[in-house]
Amino acid sequence: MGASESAVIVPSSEALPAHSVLVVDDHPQAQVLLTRFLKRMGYRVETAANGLEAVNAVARVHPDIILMDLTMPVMGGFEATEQIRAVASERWIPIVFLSATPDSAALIRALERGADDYLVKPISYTVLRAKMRAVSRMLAMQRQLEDRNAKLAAYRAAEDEQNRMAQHVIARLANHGLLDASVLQHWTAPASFFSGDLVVSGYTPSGVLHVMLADGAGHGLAAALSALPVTQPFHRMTEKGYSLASIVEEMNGKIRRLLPVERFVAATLIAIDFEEQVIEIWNGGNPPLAVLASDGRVLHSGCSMHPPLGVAPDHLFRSTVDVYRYSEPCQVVACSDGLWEAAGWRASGAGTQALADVIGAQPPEARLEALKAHFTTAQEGHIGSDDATVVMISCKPGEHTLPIREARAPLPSRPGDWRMHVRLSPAQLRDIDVVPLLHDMACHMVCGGGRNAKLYLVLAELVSNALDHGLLALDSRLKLEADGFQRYLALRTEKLAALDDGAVEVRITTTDSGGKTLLRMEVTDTGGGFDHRRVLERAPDPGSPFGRGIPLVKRLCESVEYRAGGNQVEVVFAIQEQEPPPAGAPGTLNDRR
Amino acid sequence: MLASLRTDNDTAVIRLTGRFDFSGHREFRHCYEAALQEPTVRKIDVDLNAVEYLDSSALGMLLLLKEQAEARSLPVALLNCGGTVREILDVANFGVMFSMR
Repeated sequence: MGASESAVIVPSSEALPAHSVLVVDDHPQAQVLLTRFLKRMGYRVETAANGLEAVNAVARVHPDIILMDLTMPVMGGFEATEQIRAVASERWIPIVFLSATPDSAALIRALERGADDYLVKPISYTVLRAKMRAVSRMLAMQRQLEDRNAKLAAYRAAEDEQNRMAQHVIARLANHGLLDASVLQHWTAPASFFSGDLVVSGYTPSGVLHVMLADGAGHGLAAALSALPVTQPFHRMTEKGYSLASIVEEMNGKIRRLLPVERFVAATLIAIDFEEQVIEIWNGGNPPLAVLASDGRVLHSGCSMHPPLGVAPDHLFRSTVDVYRYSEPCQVVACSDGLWEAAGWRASGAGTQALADVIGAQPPEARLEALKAHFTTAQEGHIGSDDATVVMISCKPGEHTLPIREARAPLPSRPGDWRMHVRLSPAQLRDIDVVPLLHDMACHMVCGGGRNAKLYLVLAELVSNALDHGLLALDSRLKLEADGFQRYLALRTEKLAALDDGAVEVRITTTDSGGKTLLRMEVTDTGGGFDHRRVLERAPDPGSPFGRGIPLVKRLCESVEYRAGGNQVEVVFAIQEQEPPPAGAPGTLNDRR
Repeated sequence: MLASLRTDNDTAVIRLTGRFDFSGHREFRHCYEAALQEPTVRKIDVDLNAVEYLDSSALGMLLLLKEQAEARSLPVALLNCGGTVREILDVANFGVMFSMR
């Protein structure tokens, strides 16, 4: 409906629309007099001499008002009225009876049989004039209502169609990349046609699982639209191996650029490195995430530590993640606000305990159903409902096998000689996700883009060794102590922030050898080096929280050679032609052991 | 929700009462637009003492106010945030964006 159109229907008292009147009377003289009078009032007039003619005329001339004599040959006024009502049921035509019988019983009978008003013959022209004006006014209002109803119905139909279309697209975008239920289960109860909650997931090239639960402010289409822009950077950057911190930073900027200032997206991002048994959490504006043990104990609460995405400007935005290292089978449970609010749980750690009290006693695989049932009960009688979403991820130390997925379509290899040399100073090492950039560049050079998970792993190990153990001189044995992993990370952050000297250099050159492309990669750091012989000869200990990096690199490369005091390493990596993974057990993360 | 505006010298105080959600959008905007028009106003306080609850659209309205006030170099503070209101503001970490007293 146009905004300029008034919501109240105000019929004009003077200039009534030129309605048409059908005069039905078997007396020619009465027909002539009435016709002349009505024409003077501004009406268009048609005539009929009996009921049957009147019924036919209605179908032909579509009169707005009918003046109907009661007693006529062929068909009387009552029967004609009934037939007209049956034929023109979707349109209201006021019918005024004209009758010589002035008693009230006849009046009542006429009104009951479909008349809208009644005039007694002989007709007073003053009364007729007043009645015609009144009928015309009512009719004008009625027509306006009919018009608006028709418009509303048309809008409604168009909106339904658009909703169906939007729902289709949003569902496809939102569910893109969801994992199978053995790792990740999720459930959404939308408050309206659309859900403003969104769950997406994907693996990085090194097999780290990224999951995001996003909740657009409000609900319905506006909320669903708000949450959508974050899906693209999530998938694109996860596939390239960017860290959670880089991804949330990109998303925050994107939401700020795209959405109006009062719209934002609460989000929980989770990265699980099943190999290192490390869970990273960035929670901006969602209820606390819970890490539950098999017996239901709360191992960790990942409370909201940031404003929702799109709220903080760049200079106030923090991408700091909360890190938890697990050492027993556990389950990560993340919920959106709708569920938390219906359940009446606190936003603090007390809330995760309340969650554990409800579902903790169940075996992990039955917890989603238990939580659904709890929500449904809590929801009864709850006013102002919001979308509710739950995500559950199971983490089992040592048992996880994840496919290392290669590029979806094999890309033609691009042989030829090229080289690159990058020198990274402390500023780059602090602020840039270096490995995805190097990997991306190498992949573009060698095979026109795509991903190579093994190459990513090798680069990641070499660069992180050079930085952590070379430049920052961190000792992995710290990880053996209680809370050692968290302390290791804290120390790393501290030392990296203070680093003002030194560099990591990466040189990559290619050669073609017997149809294979070989990448010679040399990584040098300005640190103190290490006893590489001892590390290279040591058998990896699967139970140790560290020490898998170099053996892994050895397995994936043709050759590994440490030089100088251990602060220079050169590996030769062969780019395999894309081969389908063997059925049953594709290259799995267990390869890393 | 009820919204009222009082100006004390250089401070405009917007006092809200009841449930602060989308239904209060008009009233709230009416109040802060009036506050922004006052030539003597140097800062804006939003008093949440009598607010029982606020939802995500209320958080959005506070961001709108902040943006428009900052365009005129007026700081916005949230006053008397307690109980449920405080918890909601804390989950959204609005302490990063607003001073709370």
